[in-house]
Amino acid sequence: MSSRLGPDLVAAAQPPDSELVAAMANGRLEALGELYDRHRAAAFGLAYRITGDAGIAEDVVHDAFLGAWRNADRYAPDRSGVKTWLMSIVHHRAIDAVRLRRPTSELPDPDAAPPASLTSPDVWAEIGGRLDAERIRHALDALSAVQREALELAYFGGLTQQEIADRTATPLGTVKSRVRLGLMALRRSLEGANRSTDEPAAGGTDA
Amino acid sequence: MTDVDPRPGGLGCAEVADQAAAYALGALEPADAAAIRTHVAACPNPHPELAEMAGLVAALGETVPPMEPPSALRNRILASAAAAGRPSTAAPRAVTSPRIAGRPARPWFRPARASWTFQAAAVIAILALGAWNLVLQGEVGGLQRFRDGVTAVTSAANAPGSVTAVLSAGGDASAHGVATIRADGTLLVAVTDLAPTTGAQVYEAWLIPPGGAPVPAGSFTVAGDRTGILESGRAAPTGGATIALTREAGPGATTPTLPIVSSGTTTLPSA
Repeated sequence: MSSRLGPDLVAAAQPPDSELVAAMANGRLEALGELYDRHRAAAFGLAYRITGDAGIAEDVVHDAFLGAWRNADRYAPDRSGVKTWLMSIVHHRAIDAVRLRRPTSELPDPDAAPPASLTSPDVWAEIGGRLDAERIRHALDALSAVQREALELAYFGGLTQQEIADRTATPLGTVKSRVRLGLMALRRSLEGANRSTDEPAAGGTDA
Repeated sequence: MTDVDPRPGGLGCAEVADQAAAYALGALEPADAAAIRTHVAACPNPHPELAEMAGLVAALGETVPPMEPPSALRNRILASAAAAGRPSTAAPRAVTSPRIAGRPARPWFRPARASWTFQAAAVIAILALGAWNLVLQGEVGGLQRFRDGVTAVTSAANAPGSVTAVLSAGGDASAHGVATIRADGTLLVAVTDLAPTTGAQVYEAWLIPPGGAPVPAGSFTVAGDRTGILESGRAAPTGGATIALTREAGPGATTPTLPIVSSGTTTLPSA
């Protein structure tokens, strides 16, 4: 536990993201700068992953943070975390950029941008609370390969369900099921992992 | 319930819940996504499943390795935000960079006036701070000289091709001021609350290009009015450069003697 003390103290000394957004709503540019410094690498990584072009990714991140600045006074802290909010702006901007560049008939080369593996361990801490790497792997195991493919084509490829159906030669209804059940399975697994972390002696569901 | 549309957006709540995952992923056709938004705007049900799915979807983004963006992007974003004004007063229109929008090449951003309004606000604050300190010290002559210097710097800053920096105090110093580099390479600096120089001592202005070494850009002395004004012809108008002041034992220093007394980063060529 003592190893957590250092980072916790550092984190405690800094204003939370939500305070930065509140300061942004009051026109404080330095708060935007601080928010940018905290999340720029995640934002740019995502934008680059989706667009595959550093210049466009830069524009995406620019537009996303400017969007955050413009809408800081409309940010509702109870609805989602600041990072979730920011990353969703980046995601939408990046998908828009990809779709604008892509003639509707032409879909990306499946080999050009292989979907990111869903195995990065620290990912789920954001939503799951105190999930360790082992729990996360369990959660990811709940996704079938076709579910994961559908989620990745939508999220990273910017494809609609109809486009995924065309691309994978799968009936639209099947794609819809994969998307819905894929996220449900993810949620169920993470909730299960979270519960057994929080209440290790509460019922032995995973014994 | 009779006065409430039972199917806002043409959808029932169960259909919205059914499509929440696809909506959060952005995988719905535009018309279907619009129907969800119409429904949620009108529906008394808060539809928490949409936020929940958004959280799960955001986690997908976190699987991507972080990547450091170009360092110039930070200033570009801050400059655009300064130009856009305070969020609550900003026009609620989307900003789209030209590469994304596929528009013909044109300036993505009109820096001159709008960015200057931000700088002007900073200058006013600095002027007030400097003025207050000078008043405290009974240096009314210095106050007038500083005001004149700031006026000279701000008018030069509005000329095409100028870059501007707001100088703020470093370390335990309290010196504040403004600087601009005109297109012709003239550096203008007005700083106040500087400790007076003695003997051969000077304040040296350094121009530090991004990632580069400090280049001496001119020096000046400071008397009892604690105010320094510099006009020198040895700088290049580079955005993102740092203008820093150090106190040197004499003129002609080739490397700065720490600490930095006051410094700021140049921004935005005026259009």
